[in-house]
Amino acid sequence: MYTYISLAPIGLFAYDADGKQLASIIFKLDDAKGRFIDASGSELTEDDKGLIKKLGKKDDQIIFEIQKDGFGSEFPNISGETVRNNISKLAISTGFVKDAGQYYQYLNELNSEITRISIKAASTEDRLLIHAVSTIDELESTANTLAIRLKEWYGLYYPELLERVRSNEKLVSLIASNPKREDLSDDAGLSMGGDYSDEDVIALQNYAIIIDGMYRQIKDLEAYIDKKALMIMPNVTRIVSPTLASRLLAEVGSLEKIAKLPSSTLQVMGAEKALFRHIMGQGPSPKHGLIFQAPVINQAQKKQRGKRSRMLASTLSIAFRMDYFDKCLTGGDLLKEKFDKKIENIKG
Amino acid sequence: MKATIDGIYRFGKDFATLSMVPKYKIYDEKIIRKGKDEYRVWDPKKSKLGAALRMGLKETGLFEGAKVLYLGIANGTTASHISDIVGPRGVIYGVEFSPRSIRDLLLVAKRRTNIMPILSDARIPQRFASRVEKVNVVYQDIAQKDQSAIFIRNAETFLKKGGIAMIAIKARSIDVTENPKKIFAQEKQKLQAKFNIITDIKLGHFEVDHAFFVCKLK
Ligand SMILES: C[S@@+](CC[C@H](N)C(=O)[O-])C[C@H]1O[C@@H](n2cnc3c(N)ncnc32)[C@H](O)[C@@H]1O
Repeated sequence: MYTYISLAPIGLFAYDADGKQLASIIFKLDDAKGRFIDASGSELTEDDKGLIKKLGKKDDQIIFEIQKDGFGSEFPNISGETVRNNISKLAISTGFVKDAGQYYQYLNELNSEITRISIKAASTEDRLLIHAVSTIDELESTANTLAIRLKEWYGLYYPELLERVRSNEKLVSLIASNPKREDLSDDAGLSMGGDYSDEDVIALQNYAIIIDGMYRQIKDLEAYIDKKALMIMPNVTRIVSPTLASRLLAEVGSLEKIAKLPSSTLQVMGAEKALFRHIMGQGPSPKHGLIFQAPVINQAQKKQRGKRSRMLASTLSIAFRMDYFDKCLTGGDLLKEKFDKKIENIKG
Repeated sequence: MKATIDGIYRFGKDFATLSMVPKYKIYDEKIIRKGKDEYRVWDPKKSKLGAALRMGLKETGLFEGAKVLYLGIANGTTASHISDIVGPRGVIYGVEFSPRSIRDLLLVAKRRTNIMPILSDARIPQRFASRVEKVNVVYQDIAQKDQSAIFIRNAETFLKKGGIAMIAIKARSIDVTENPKKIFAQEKQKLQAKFNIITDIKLGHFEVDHAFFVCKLK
């Protein structure tokens, strides 16, 4: 027979399938907040262990209401249902508080505290994303510099491969997995390159492995950025790719700041050099900066690009505000539809 | 003064609630003073429940001491009136997933300790269930495509027997291109699978293309 465990603001409760209480652990009002917050995680806490010990049941006989590592879970379960039906009475009868007023005062403080902690966690999300974006840039430039050295080194041995494989990333990955020219091609014997000993080849390969690792790291970070960007900018990513959304965010430094920018700034952001030339009277005013990376702009006819950039920037500025102030996802859908319609209209 | 509906007072065409925390405004609502009492006028343009009252809503299921689960509580405009109605012996569990909006709610909840601010996604009740309890009323205003499913899920999990569940539905959040009438009919059908609908109100010019349903679990 299974035993069902649930967490409540005043402690942990175990019930059998018939709704009979088997055991409980009641927090002390003084340390209840910390213990509740700990027990909300998926790791087993001392309190969880204490309750399981009291029950004397095998782990696979225990069903939690929240997810716990290594245990089954069911939501809602009979324990949670029963406790939620009379929590304020339980709080009094277990001696946790002396009356309902005291319980709800505690509950208000508990919820406020958890919410404050979660807001704090959420407020650093955009900064994590920005660090990831900058890391990619640095990795990319470092990997490319190192790859140039590798090419020179490898070129002495097997120059024909450099002719055939143009992309640094592919070349590095080939050399990292097997640099021996006779393994790479049948006509390697005809190579103009000099002969390398096994030792020479291994030294070269080890170097390639490091650079290859960097390229892989870039790929991983890109996937990470896409996921995070979709989460913290659900509306903006309806309009442009997660990558571009993140680049714009990184350029400005925080979601809060970007939400407050005028759309004209968004439009030329990342085009500082061109803007500077324009201000110095040495060039036309830049029509688009980073947002040029969006296909709606760079795949448009030249004479349409300015207009489109302006439209995209103003749409994005609304989307950034939505993502900062209120994440009603449907706002982004509506915005996207309007934007597409506008683009359609100026085509005609 | 006598309430027209539980905890809700009428001044001409306006509705108001008796402030639980006099001298503190929540939004820029109008205040009517009667002796020591302060009545906060419910702005139908800023609150869908306020709009529903103006459009003839008679039963809210709210009463002094009631427990409420509020999904999409935002910064607490509507919730502040509910807070007045349920009073210090009542509770509002306010779920909201925008950190920005709930930051303002935290301040409101400091004075109105019957509000429990919960930063969480209404779609995943498992994440906040251990901090709430069974309630007399579920109120939902989240403007999401799958809002009816979210509403049903939460009502089934948290509503007490005989309790009331209210939902504001924004046609454009379901489908922007479809005729609102058709959307309301289709959402109503979804709700009717699980609820008996007691009241069905359009919010008129206060909130264009919005419907408001008051339901009881079957
Ligand atoms: C129209 S506003 C609510 C206004 C509020 N009810 C009032 O009258 O004062 C909708 C709110 O629902 C929130 N929301 C949307 N989807 C949500 C979800 N899945 N879980 C929790 N909150 C959500 C939004 O962040 C937004 O604050």
